[in-house]
Amino acid sequence: MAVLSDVNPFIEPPKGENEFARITHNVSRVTETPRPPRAWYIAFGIALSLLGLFGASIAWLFWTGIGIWGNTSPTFWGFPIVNFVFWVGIGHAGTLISAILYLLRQTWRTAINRFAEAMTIFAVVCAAVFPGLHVGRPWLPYWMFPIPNAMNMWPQFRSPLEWDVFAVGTYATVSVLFWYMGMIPDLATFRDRSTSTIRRAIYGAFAMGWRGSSRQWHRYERAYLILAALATPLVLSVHSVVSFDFATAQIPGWHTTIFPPYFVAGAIFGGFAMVVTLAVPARQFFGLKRIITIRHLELMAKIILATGMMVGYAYGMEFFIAWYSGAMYENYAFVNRLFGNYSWSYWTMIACNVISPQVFWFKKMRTNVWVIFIVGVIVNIGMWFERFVIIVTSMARDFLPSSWGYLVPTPWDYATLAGSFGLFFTLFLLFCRYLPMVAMAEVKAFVPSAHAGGDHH
Amino acid sequence: MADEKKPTKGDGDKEGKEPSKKPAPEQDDFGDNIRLGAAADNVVKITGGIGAVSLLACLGLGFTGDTKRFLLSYLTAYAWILSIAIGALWWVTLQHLVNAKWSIVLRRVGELMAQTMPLMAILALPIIIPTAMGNDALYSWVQHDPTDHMMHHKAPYLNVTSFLVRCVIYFGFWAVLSRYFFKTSLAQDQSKEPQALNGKMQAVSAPGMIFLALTLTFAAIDFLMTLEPAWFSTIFGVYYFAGAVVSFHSMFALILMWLQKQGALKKSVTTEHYHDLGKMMFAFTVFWAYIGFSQFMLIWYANIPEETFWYKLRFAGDWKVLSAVLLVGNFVLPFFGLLSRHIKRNRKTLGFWAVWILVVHYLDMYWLVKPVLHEDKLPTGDILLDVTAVVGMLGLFFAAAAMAAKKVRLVPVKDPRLPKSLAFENF
Amino acid sequence: MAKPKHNDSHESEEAGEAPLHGLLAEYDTTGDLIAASKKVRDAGFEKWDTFTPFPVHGIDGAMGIKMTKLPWIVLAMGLTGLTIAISLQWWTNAVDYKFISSGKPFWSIPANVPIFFELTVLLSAFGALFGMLALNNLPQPAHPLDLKKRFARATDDKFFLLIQAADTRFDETETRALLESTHPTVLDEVPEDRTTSNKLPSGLVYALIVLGVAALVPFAFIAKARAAKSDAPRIHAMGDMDWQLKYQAQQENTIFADGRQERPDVPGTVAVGELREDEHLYQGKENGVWARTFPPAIEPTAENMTRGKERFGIYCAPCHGMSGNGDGAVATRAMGLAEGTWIPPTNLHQDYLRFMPVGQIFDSVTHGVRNMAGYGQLVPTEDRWKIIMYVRALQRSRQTSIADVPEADRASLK
Repeated sequence: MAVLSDVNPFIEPPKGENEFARITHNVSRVTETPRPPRAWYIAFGIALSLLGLFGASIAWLFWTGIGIWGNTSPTFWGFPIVNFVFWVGIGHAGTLISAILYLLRQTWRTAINRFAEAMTIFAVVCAAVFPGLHVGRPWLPYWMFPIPNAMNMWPQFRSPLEWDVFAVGTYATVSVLFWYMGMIPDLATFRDRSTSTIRRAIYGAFAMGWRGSSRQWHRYERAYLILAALATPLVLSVHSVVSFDFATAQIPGWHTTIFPPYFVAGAIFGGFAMVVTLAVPARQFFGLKRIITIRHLELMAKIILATGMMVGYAYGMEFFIAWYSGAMYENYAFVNRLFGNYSWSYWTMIACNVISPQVFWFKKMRTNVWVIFIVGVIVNIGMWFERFVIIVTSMARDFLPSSWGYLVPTPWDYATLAGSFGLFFTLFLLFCRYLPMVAMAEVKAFVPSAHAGGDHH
Repeated sequence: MADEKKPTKGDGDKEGKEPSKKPAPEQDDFGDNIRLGAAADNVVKITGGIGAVSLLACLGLGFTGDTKRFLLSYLTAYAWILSIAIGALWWVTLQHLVNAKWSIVLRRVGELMAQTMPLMAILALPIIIPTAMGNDALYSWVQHDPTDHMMHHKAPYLNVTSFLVRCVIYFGFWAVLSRYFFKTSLAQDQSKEPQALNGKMQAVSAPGMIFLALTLTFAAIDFLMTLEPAWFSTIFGVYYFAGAVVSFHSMFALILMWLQKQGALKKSVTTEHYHDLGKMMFAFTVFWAYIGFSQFMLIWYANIPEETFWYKLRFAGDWKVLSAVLLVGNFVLPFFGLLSRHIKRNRKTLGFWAVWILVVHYLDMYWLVKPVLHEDKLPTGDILLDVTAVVGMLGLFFAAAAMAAKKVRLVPVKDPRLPKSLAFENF
Repeated sequence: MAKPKHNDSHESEEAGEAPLHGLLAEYDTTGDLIAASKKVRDAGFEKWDTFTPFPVHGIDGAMGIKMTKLPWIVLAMGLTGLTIAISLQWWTNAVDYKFISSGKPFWSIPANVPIFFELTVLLSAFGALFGMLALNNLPQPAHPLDLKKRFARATDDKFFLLIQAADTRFDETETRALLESTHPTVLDEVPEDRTTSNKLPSGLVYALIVLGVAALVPFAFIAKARAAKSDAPRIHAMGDMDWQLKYQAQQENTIFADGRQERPDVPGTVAVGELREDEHLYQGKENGVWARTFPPAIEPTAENMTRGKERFGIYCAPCHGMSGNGDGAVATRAMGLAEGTWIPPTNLHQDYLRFMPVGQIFDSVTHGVRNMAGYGQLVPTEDRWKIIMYVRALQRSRQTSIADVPEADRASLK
């Protein structure tokens, strides 16, 4: 509570200001206040130490080789790929909120889209690290790009892993463009409010001389709409391509045609869970309760419930077709998930992903900040286990019983996973401190007085 | 003839009478013609008559000719018309689920299209009855060979009894759900607390959507996927769903254009609504391609014989041409055709693409069903069966919807969200 | 450095030396702004603009802004991306660097679709953002309006309308009257900006030069590394990967008594598919004598002959020549170099070879003869027989008369 009182004064706007000024004020003060709330320092400290752990893990990995991980025959894709898919999944909600909800005219998205987009980018950064580490030869990843080279070799474009390079690369680039473009007007606001030369210079450089000209707004809005329309299929494609990594193979439990939409639904599900996990503390500590309201959280809870049901549908279809197909390896793979030596991970996944969101059927639960936060965290855990179940259980029990194995993660596996959270939260906390956390211009466009007296046709 | 009358009894009569007691005043209040009136009778008589005759001709040809060929033609047309009806039910459920505002003015028309569900149950009888009687002309699993290990494994699912039980569940659920939304929506027209009814319908729509997803999936599996009982694909239900949504929106746009030509809804349904329908057609054209590509590419890439034979049939002989036509006609052309907002906002161009999509969607169903014949050539000899089946079902579909529309308002006038729907604008 | 400049600008602004850039009207609500915009639009002005903190609904119509051509730029960029994706994948995998992967054709479109899509979207997105910036003339570091302190609120909560003096219809008094009739909260003159330097700050210039030079350093190192030779062994970044704990070929293994790492076959066993009982097929002998006939499995069909010709072209022709004269490319080159040690390959048309039993030829091909190495490890058994079948055909082709040609075709030879 002491933490809250630090920022409470900022919630109230200067006397006599209109609604627009209050929005500017509330959002800008988060970055303009000389000292952020104490909770920010605590969180940043934890995040930095985890980031240090990440750095140490990677340094040791490069020094020694990927033998420090538990990956071994037959589970060659252990934690690193689980983490990769997990983080890429998290990185879906941001662009979904920005793009798809924009196209569907869901105006409530304006309160949360900015930091959901930021979350997307940081999650994709975390994701991109893992395949880079997992190739085991950190000086060779340039082989993945079509660069003319002395060996006269080209990348193999028929491989799903190469598609990943392009899909994740494009997604990261377009997400950054989308995020940056959305921020230009808000950076201009920061520039115009800044009192120090340095702030003015830096925000000014990134605002590129935006002055809110209506002729520019016209093209800006068109560009935003186009980017949204481009980002929508892109979101679908990224996790579909990630799912191809598995589904094009013949390993039982991997090769199933529903993987692309199932992965996308799962990614949105996990991404929204991460958004609420971040939104709840962010609105609490930075005094944004009037902008990110309970209603926003409730709507996100509904989306979590809906996408959770879609994921449940895919789980069910996989099981049904595994039985219906009559293929004995498929059959075995799914019986093994239920009752095999990895069944603990399967039941964790079901409990977290299918059962826990069911509380959102009740309005009381959907509007309780703590319930939303806790379910968000649980779903994140569940989505990590989903990838674990898909990758590890399927690989550990392949066609040849003589090659069966059991993945035993090493402390370095855990350290790298925990460390990636450090990278994510460090970036996220820096973003909260220095960039406009809420899309001010967009929020302003939807307050009632934005239309006062305006002709509405 | 019986085919045509039965559904309408269940549909329009009871509902129609309640509002008919005091129709005139509200109608004037609304400031737009929201009754179909005499045009509905014409549709029932003429379109329904043509449909019934055509369908009887199809059945007649079926009894005299090759049963398997008849059943395949019939199933193709049926899968097509059913997808439109299910699309309508899905759309109505979705609008309630997400509390959509833009579509309120269109909602009743969607509800009316979903009122064809009892008709769908009746139209399914020529497929269900032979199957129930142990005829394996259509579904080879009906007479399963006990030595065939694979079929023996699948027998708990692929047997006549459980097939019949599932059919009862599908059609029963669809009829009940569509009727519930229609009835509640009509009650809203008279209600003093229309908001409460919206809440009620939204509450029903959530579990409704879940069961709709499951019934749609398994219906697609039962009617289409089990044509090749050895083949399987987890995405199959989603594939059928994608086609259902895109063809429903096309049919929806065409019906709205027809209604406006009849003088109904002239002011209420604006270019903005067509633009949104066009966007949905565009989006689900892309979605269909995405799902179709996912299914094909994964099976092509993994190259496992128990899956690839299904595509091999469709890439052999003339079927290859049809596959290419589907790719171009169902994705490439409508994609570029519907890309521009000007096309979506122009009724003529939108109407053209709506007709186009309905035709290629029929070809999609044809492509799903007919290769079961295991022939290299397209079965063009069955064209009379194909045409009579489509015309018959389409005619009865319109007649059933018009029957339900006879005495009701075409707009849910009391819905509190209606003004927003009337005034909304695209960006 | 920056401070005195700032003061200068204030002085000159107050002095009012600069010519007029335009008139700036300020409004509190969007409604007022839209009403004013309509008036200005109807008055026929062209060089004017409004400035708002957010995109105001309906302002496009009120100002008469035409639809931007941005979508066309995006479409063009998208098609460029698609073209690049198609040609890149086609060139690299189907033409320049062919190799088989997952049993797919070199040019297999389904497997290339994901990258078609990604590059199309990537370039379209570039087109959308950079096209927007270019059409908007951004970045635009300086503007006369920046000198107006009030104008900072254009990105906060106020709405502005600027008519430029450069407009042909601009008349200071009339335009002022027009704007006054729209009831602005403030109406102000904006002078031209004569104070902000067009030059970049010198500190920034130096920083950019230093960065530019620094950016060249890695390239300099690469250039040096490519030009220079080094005796130093390569760097072993990961010892564990370069020196792995495993046995390699020909290595000693103390576990076994004979110290060999590679194990011989277990005595008395035959590996699957290695049982070669058929003396005729595998050794070219019948009852211990060189066979004069082909094994029954190798029938003289056109298919076998074609296969034999193809294999002959691959394995034999480099030395023996395509026609068997012993004048293959390798032999010709060796003769050309006139190295004394070169033993010319055999001419396959010599009599002793023509009458040699096929079994003996098979043995020579399998185990080698004189200078020629054995091809038993390289060429499968059936293929070796087919090659010999083709060699027999080659030999026969030199011993023909007109009688061997079918009567119908004789005319064509004349």
